[in-house]
Amino acid sequence: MAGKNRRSFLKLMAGIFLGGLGILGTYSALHFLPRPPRKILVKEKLEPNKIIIGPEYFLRLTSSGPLALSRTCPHLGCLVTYNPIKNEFVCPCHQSRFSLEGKYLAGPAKKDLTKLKVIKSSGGLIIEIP
Amino acid sequence: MRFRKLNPWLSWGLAATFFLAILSGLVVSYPYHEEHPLITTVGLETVVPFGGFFRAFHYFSGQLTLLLTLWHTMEAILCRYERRRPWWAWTTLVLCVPGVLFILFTGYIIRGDETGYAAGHIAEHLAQSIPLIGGAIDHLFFLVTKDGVHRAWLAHVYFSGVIFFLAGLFHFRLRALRSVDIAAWGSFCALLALILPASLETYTEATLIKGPWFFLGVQELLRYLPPLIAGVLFPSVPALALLGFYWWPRASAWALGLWLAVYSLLTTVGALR
Repeated sequence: MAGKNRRSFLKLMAGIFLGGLGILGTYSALHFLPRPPRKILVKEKLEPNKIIIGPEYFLRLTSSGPLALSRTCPHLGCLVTYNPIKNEFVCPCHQSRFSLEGKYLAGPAKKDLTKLKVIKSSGGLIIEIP
Repeated sequence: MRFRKLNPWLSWGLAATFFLAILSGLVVSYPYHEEHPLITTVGLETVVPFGGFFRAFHYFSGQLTLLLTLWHTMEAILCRYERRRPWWAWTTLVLCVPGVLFILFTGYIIRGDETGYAAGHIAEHLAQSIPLIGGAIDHLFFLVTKDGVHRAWLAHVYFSGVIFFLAGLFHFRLRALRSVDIAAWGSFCALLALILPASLETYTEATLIKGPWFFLGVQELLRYLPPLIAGVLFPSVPALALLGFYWWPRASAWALGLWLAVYSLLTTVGALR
């Protein structure tokens, strides 16, 4: 009788352990799945030669339409700023420089600024931040 | 063999300033909230009664802790203290030096200002550049892109407590810390806090920002070399040299001296930009 009780108790404990492990595994797997992009609505009107500087993006009008660039420097993640004197983007941390199209010009970054997806909507432009 | 003695006033000064930094940290942490780091830090400066003074007191006691740690380490080497300790004690004490640097660095991150934002993201990317364990280190201490300054804030608090109380129990004996040392160093920190403001930079869209003074050399080197070399391996050299003093004092002294010369040069170039 005592052996049966012990066996059922151990079975219960094993079930709880395996169940917990499953929940933990699922939670961990979900954690590593890519998250959906955040969407930011920009209501400000775009004009030629105007750069809209958002907290995470640059937005400007080009001949092929609106262009949104991430402000995250591909080198070490600092917030890239606009240099009006040289009319280019510059990383204030290590002085990587980028053209207004986001192309890498100089410095340690070695990569272009990331282009962000822009969707036109009735309320303005929606920028997707990955 | 007779050994030179450490300067007791400066050594106890280190214990006193560390103690005062933790006490003032308890005060400034109360109105601080890591979900809104910049807003609560500005609020601490502008709304909380004497908040600006306590923040400056915390800032300067922390800066003095680092300066006195560096001084104490150099003095310990010159006095050949590694010969009077077992290897594990020397190793533990030496690891406290990067530990104190880490506490000060995370202190910059958790302000959430322009410098703090940049420091947090640089630290995150440098951690990720470490092979195999980089992701785990990032998840433990930074992860600022996903989680804000929360983990850096926890690391700041935990490391402060662990290093101070371990050192207080086994190294300098906290009970022996005299009130006269606390009063003298506390007055000095208070004087600095009354005269000088603690740094806090708003987002100015500046085209050049400089990191903390002790990070300027690394910041400069990161312009020329890959992150793993400039931001991880190069700053590890002095820690390894300090550890090596126990076994190879001569070679370690050369390595540390050369590193200090290079780092001083890099810091000067970075400061002059």
